[in-house]
Amino acid sequence: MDRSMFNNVQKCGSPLRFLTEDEMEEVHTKSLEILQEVGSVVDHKEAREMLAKAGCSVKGKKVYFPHGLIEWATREAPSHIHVYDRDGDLAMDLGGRNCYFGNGSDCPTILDVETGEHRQFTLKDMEDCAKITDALPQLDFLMCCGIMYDYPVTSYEHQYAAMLRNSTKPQVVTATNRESIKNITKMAVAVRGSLEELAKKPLFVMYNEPISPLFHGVEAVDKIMYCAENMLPTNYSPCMMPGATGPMTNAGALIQGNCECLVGLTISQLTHPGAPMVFGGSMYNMDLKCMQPTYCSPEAIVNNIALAQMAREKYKVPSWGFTGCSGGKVFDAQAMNEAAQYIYSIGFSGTNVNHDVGFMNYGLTYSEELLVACNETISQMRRVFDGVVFDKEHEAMEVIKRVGPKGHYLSEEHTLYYNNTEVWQPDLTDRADLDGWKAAGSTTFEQRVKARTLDIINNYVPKQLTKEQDDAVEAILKDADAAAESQEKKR
Amino acid sequence: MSKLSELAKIVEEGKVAEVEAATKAALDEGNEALTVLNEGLVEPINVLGEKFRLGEIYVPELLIASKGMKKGVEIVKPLLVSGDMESQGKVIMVTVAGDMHDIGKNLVALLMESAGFEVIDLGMDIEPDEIVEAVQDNADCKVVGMSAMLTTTMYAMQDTIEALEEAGLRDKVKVMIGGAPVNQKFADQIGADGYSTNAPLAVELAKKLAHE
Repeated sequence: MDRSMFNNVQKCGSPLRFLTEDEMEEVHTKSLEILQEVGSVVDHKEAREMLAKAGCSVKGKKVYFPHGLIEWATREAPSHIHVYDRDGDLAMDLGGRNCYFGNGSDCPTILDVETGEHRQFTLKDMEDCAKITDALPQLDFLMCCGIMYDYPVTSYEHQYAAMLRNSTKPQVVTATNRESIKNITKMAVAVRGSLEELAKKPLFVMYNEPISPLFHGVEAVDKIMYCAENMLPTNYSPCMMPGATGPMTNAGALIQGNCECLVGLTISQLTHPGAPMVFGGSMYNMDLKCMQPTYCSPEAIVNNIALAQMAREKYKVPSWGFTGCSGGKVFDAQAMNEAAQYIYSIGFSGTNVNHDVGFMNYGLTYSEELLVACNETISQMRRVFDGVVFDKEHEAMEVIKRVGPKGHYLSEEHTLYYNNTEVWQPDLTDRADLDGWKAAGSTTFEQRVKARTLDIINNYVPKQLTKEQDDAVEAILKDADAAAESQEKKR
Repeated sequence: MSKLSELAKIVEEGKVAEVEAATKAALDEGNEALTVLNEGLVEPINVLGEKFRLGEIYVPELLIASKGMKKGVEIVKPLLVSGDMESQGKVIMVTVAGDMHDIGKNLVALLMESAGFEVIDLGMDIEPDEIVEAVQDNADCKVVGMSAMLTTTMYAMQDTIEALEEAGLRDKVKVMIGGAPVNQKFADQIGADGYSTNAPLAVELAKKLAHE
């Protein structure tokens, strides 16, 4: 499948690194200090027993971690996770400075493309978002984008089915608890054939969170353990709001976020050494006037990149991050300004899994238009970070000598070849001269993005699951709903 | 400047460490305890509350100043005649069963206290019957505020309203809800008395419901 003309490795001689070697060591040692002295609440009995056996001191639900155990865990986790698409082809090599982009999950509302209204998410919206992500060449994975209100207990299973049915791209999935991720795994197995095959060729990465500060909930821990038991990849991302649930300063937020990630990593590796885990967080400060998480603030960008740097350079594990989002309420210049800054920051820093493209309004509203627009920005950014290629053909010495002083290159084969294979071509970006732009309708970028979004929604047909796979998914959904209903009746 | 005005200024400026001495000085100046309370301690917080509502100051400015106010109230309270301290009413605040997210609820609780409510914060992961028990134990409670962060826990709000009905307490309290997955449609569906999208609006809603 044609994912992109440009590769995903960010070629940048001096990548953006906010932390020096000493500063990374400082974050690490301060995290060890907090985890040993202050500890963390691990609200999962079996996990606490496992941690106690491994040398932790446990008092009630509070666990105190010895340095050696944390450092052991960082050495056990793998440095790369290969993720495959629905067809079984390699889609993402998470590790190093490879960068991949996807949308986000569980927004309560969507920005209606036709009416501009902020309205509740529907199943059709979920299907549309999956289709759009499938159609956009620069998007590498999908998340569900919105909340499935119609299914209070099995919303995550229905969300997964919608993603699976409407895109061949790999997914990052959310789940309520062990039972829920088990159901999602069953659906992924319906595509892969077996759990062993799924572990060998993961189709999804699970998304999971602690609760800042320093609290690891029973379901979150259980889900880490489920994934580790089955060697399925997951992240464990603090969704900290510095100023509210974490320190206001970047250094303080980093230390706390690092602590929270390290606990998840330790539980994962103790459950099964070598279990694949993506390390990093979403640490966007709370705006202390409107009291919403900023999602896209300069401080959030710094936190994002710095914690991912810890993952990549200190612990040598795949890194998690977010990008392409805005605090705005409409798809306008602010939305593009914030989203584009964020996307370019990823190019400089090389974070592996970058989600939330298309998020607006503090993560409460999903915008299909912002997603479509960001596809263009990501493709530009990727071309920038392809940098300069040096070889005989690219140095073009033979052409320069032949064209000579005051010649021109317009009719050169060299020009045509590299224009067609490497030069970035605009899609939604306007480059016409003024008269040409007027002749084409004097459209704005917003208008062109809206037209494209509607075109994809109305006309794009993603590759379907086979009938056998689709029937298997439907059967799993029915069982999940029936089990949920019977539990509801018992209550 | 009188010692009373100085106290109000110190409270408004969030100079917590200076409040105790300033409160004593305002009392020593000859002001009635009730006057010191209302003009020296409560009024500056009302001023800050309004500034915060209008987006002119940051929430820590209000909350730190409130800490100072509480220090002053500890000194003044023993000197007051019973019934002098006016309260907006009693509110029970919870994060519902199965949910461990509480920063939003904590923020609303703090702002309610600053606004003069007596807040009973039951914490997080609170079952419907625990909420019913708290309402039974606090007959003067006017409002129950419930928070949820997840679609899988928000239905505990419906369970709680049903539990209050079964216990014959539903018409004794007003129920308001908030949280990321919740909306007005859901509030109407489960029979809540109100829903708010953010913390300052939650305080305004609580004031309205408490006086209905």
